[in-house]
Amino acid sequence: MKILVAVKRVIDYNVQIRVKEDGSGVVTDNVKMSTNPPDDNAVEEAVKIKESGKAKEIIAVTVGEEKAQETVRKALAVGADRGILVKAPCTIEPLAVAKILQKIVEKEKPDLVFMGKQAIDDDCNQTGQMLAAILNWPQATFASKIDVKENVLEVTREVDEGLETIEVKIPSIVTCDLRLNEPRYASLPNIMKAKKKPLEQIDASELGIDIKPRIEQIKVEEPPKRKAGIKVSSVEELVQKLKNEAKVI
Amino acid sequence: MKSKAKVVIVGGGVVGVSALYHLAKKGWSDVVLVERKELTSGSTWHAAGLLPLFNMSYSVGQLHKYAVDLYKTLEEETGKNVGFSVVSNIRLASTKDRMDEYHQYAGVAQTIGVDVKFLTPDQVKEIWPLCNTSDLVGAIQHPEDGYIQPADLTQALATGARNRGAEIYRNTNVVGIKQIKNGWVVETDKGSIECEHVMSCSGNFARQTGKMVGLEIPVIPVEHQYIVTEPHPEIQKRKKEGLPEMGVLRDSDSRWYMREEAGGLILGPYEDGAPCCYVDGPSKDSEYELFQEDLDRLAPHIEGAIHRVPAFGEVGVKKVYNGAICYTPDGNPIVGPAWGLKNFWINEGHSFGITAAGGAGWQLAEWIVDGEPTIDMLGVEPRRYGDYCSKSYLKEKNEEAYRNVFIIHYPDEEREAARPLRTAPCYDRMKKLGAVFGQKFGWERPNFFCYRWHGTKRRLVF
Ligand SMILES: Cc1cc2nc3c(=O)[nH]c(=O)nc-3n(C[C@H](O)[C@H](O)[C@H](O)COP(=O)(O)OP(=O)(O)OC[C@H]3O[C@@H](n4cnc5c(N)ncnc54)[C@H](O)[C@@H]3O)c2cc1C
Ligand SMILES: Cc1cc2nc3c(=O)[nH]c(=O)nc-3n(C[C@H](O)[C@H](O)[C@H](O)COP(=O)(O)OP(=O)(O)OC[C@H]3O[C@@H](n4cnc5c(N)ncnc54)[C@H](O)[C@@H]3O)c2cc1C
Repeated sequence: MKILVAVKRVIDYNVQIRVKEDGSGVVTDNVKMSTNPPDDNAVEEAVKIKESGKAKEIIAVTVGEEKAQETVRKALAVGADRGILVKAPCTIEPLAVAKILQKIVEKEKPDLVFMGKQAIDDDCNQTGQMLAAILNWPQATFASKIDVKENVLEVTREVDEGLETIEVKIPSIVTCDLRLNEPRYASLPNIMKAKKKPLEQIDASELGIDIKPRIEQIKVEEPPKRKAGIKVSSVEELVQKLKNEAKVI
Repeated sequence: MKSKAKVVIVGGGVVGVSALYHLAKKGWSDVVLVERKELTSGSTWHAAGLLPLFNMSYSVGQLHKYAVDLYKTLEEETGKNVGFSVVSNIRLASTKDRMDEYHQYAGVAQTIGVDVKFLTPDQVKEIWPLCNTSDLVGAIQHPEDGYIQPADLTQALATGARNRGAEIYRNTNVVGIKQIKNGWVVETDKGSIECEHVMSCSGNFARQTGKMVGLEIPVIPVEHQYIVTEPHPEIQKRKKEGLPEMGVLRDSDSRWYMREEAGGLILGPYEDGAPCCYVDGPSKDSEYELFQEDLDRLAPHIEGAIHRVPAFGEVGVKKVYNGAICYTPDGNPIVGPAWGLKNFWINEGHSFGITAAGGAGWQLAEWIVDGEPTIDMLGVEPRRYGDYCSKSYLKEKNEEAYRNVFIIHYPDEEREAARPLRTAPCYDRMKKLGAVFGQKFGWERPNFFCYRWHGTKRRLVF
């Protein structure tokens, strides 16, 4: 079995996001970037399946700028076998990413595509679903547990009401939740070795698809600043304020 | 906010807060500190917290020694734990030249009263069983140093200062500093404060603060990274058995420091090619900022570290910190009176600021209150710099200072980067005569003549 894992480079979750002065987006220059956290879970799950002997090859793919290959290298360092960087401008919408991934799927013919449930930068939660639709494959979203069986996957999904267990036929698309597993850290020798693993570069413009944005972004604004707190002098005052002013108890 | 004070300190990193503490301790309670964001939100919060006593400079060495002694007393005084782990610090030597450097240093240490022990490779192995000692010549150990929690240290110093009447204004930005008769007016976005003295402790903003009063403060930070690993079973086992921490390890010849952190290890290399950052100052919203890591740059040092401590390569990398660390052309901080401006004090350019903060604050308080410092401050004297330190000069020089942190410091060391900067009309003639130059205040001056090399390509710089 062959598993394709899609990984995205996003602003690190610890960074305090700053909006550009002209409201055209957020500041990314000189800002620490890293792999979208649920994508780490997707990679980890693929590696675990390979370690259990149920998969032969893991391919990590990213769509983005030249620098996005750092994200692929990170996947290679924890166990992916080879990588693909599809070079494209950094603002690329889920539909375009899904179309690009469709081309990669057609070329690589994986049995499974693992992705993050959503990216923490634009919070779209669309790419996996769109890819499933374009490929006409079954999808299992928000996976918190995956069991590989004969020709099917048993996937536990995190839904509002609790946990839902479904079965999907292989090939299929799985989008991963943060509670799926505990991603491992790469050791330094493995990080160094990952530099020698193959990483193919493809230009998105060579794929013959339309990746033009469909959404027009009007303005990016910072959320209102949190007001300074006050000090209360006693527990009674706190309780009184929570009751009468905040009306939460 | 007060409208009048004796001293206004600009910047609430560990350096500024320590200066405030020491002024208050010296009896000047009418002192204030202004911080544009939160205390420690500049470079202080992400520091590795090491307190190295080792320093070839008499001035810096004494500042560090004072700080290590002071930090041990802060919890008792302020009730705040500063997380000081006195675990000792071992510096390794793989060559005889390095060992000679340590012997020379031991003279400095003895003069200023710092305890240094010489260790054999076997003794190193006893203390640091995970260290490969087969190719070592020897080592020195500072039993008294270790590491501290930089943010907790800053908060303890702030408590000590407030307890003595000093005031701290957070989320207040200094936007201008004007000289008036008998003093200064510090303008902030929340009002002005009239004062007798101003002290600049603004870290990565040093050049911006300097510009407010027409000073070229020669500070541009450089990127510095350290790697934190996940726990290693061997270290966890030691902990369970109740064995002491192995302490800080410095491999001078491979140019890194290492220590235990939460059952894992921290590695901080001083590599070639670390670039300057914030060349035109941090952005106005900058706080708690980290940069993209670059492990490629660190590769030779990582290999060196795995050779020295194989366990380091056996566990995963949990996090890489890449942050701004201030540098000056010679690598020493700038502590003392500004050139040409009365009662303006500079406390900037700290690359080991957690360690130097204690001593720098102490001496500036002496200097401001009593009129002179009590130790020889020549090595950190601001007046070794001046307007000759252009931005392009600083970029080259400060990157050089960073990559030279672990070179062998020979006596009368002269460094090559960004030279010649200023030359006298006779420079070319002197050079033809075989002059070997040194640099003072930006000027090239013959240190000696070496006519045997005259005409050959070989360059001699001492
Ligand atoms: C990765 C890393 C590891 C390090 N490890 C160590 C270590 O192990 N040991 C060690 O000794 N040192 C270490 N350092 C260095 C240490 O972090 C610094 O030397 C130290 O924090 C400097 O303190 P500071 O107070 O001068 O600067 P900062 O902490 O940057 O404080 C300056 C403050 O001034 C404020 N400010 C600036 N301009 C204005 C203005 N106009 N108005 C109001 N406020 C202003 C800023 O907001 C900031 O809070 C490390 C550095 C890095 C990057
Ligand atoms: C008692 C006494 C003892 C001293 N002992 C020493 C000592 O042991 N060692 C020491 O270094 N200083 C010593 N000095 C200081 C030294 O004499 C002066 O710094 C030096 O002579 C300056 O020369 P000047 O005043 O003529 O300089 P200026 O008037 O500035 O010099 C005139 C011109 O000479 C050129 N020039 C001067 N010096 C150099 C140079 N080194 N290289 C290239 N060009 C140069 C400059 O281009 C300049 O244009 C001593 C001074 C005194 C009073």
